[in-house]
Amino acid sequence: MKRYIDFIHFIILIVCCYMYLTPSICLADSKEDIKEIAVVVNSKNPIVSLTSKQVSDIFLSRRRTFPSGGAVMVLEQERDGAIREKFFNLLNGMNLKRLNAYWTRLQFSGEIQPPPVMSDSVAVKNAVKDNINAIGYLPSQYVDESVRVVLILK
Amino acid sequence: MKPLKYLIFAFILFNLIWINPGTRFEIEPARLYADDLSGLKISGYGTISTSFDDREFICPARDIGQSPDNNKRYSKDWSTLMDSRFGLQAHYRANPDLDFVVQGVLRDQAYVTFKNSLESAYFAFRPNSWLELRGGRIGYDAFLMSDTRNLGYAYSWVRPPVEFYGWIPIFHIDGADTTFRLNGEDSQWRFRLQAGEQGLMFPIDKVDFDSSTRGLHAMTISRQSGDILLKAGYSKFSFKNEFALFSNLHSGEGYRGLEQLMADSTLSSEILEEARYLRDNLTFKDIDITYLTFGASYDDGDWILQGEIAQSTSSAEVFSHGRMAYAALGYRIGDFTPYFMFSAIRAGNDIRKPLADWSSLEESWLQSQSISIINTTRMDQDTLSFGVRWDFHLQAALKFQLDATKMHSNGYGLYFSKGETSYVDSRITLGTISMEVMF
Repeated sequence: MKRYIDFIHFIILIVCCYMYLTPSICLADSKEDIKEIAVVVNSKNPIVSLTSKQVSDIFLSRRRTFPSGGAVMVLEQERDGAIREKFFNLLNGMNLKRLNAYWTRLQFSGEIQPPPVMSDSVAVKNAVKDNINAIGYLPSQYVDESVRVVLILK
Repeated sequence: MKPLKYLIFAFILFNLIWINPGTRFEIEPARLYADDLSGLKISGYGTISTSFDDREFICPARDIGQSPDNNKRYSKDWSTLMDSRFGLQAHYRANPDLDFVVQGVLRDQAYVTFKNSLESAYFAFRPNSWLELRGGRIGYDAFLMSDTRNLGYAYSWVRPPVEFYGWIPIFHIDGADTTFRLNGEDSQWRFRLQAGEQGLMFPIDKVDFDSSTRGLHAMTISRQSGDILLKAGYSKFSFKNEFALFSNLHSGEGYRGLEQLMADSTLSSEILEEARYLRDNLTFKDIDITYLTFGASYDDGDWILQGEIAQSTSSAEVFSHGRMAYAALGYRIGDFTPYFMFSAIRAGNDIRKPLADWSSLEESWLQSQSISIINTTRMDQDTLSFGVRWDFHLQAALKFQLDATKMHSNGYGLYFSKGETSYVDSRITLGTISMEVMF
């Protein structure tokens, strides 16, 4: 058994070294650039607006339908991205460390797998535009008439 | 059903549903823009841990699947084995309604085999927004944390309280479950039914026991409302097999076992009655074991509170059962979360004492040995834990925890002990440093 544990230690040390050498927060979107975050749904979705609590429940996978009863397809931003950090901070006060611990429980217990992670805000907007069940978030400056804003976080 | 069969089953199902053009789901337009809406994800978690204690002849274990005496832990006052583990998961999202998941965990167990290390291998299908069906090897979901026991990064403390989780012999279910979800005004309800079996081999006092179950099922209902989660569960199962050590006492070779004594009408009614009682309570095969539990947790970002109470019953005294509970409180100060936790268990059966005088029998040792075994599996102990978690990285945390445990005499079912130690009250202090990562 000892050799297995030695192997575990070796693997985890490699992972830790990788983490140490990797920046904690993506610099693609600096927090200073993000004034407002818009929560957007497909323009054909009957939902006109959502409360912060409803959006929080949806993005924490506690609620899996819109208030109208329609299925929800959540679209996430990069796990360590500044936009994600700002979004959850404004939405429910969760920081990324707490959020990662929360999702670790859901993901590895089989409760639900994390939502698809989009490469950037443009990809979020395009996916929301083309999927009636989708919901995503992005800086307000990315919003146009192709998607519907249901909540603004400042 | 062997794990390999699950993989084959999952692979065939995947082919039927996804690859086969006749049954293939329509690709939604969004996938044209984002590759991540379907595809394979590899992720994992791990723990490096070192524990040290201040007692000889007493050895802590994280759960019943471990066998500290195999690793000569009695003779050492520190160990890296107890809490260290490494888990790797592959998740394939076929479409928004269908997932395939395989997860393996390398950790200290009496026998490290592929079968024991395969934590889950299942498909999850959601035909609509309120129903989910899973099949394969799935997590055992009877308690608040029973399917997250390995996920150290997910909770504040070093390990789930041993008094509550350490002795539950079910780690996963080879079967299926159904989950119903309902949305209330400001709350979400979840009902889950699980059924299947589990077959693990682990040693009890260096004798292997095939713990294959029969009729394993669990039902849970949970309610999430903002920061508050409430969960109640009920589970029942029985074992298919007898423990070899008990079989020898039931029916001896070269001596009369309990069953032969029960058939001897020349014996006094007191001896016959006690022999029957010992026979009926010294068995694992076909006994009914139940767990009834209620748990609650609260996390508002600053305060963390969690607690559970449970009652376990067994139709034979020798299988550990009783009432257990724990309560934990933590407070986040920046990246640091100091916490304390108290957990306790009380045996569901009284200490057994001889009822009849067997001194006239050649097999008088059967009485003392049978009673000794029944008393050995009793659990009666408390643990007070203090600790701190430091989230020094987005995906890594360091923890330090100190556990002060008091074991009452004839209540050492949770700690491994040598010699006569278990006949007197004992105290043990256990310190643990661990680093948790997820990726």
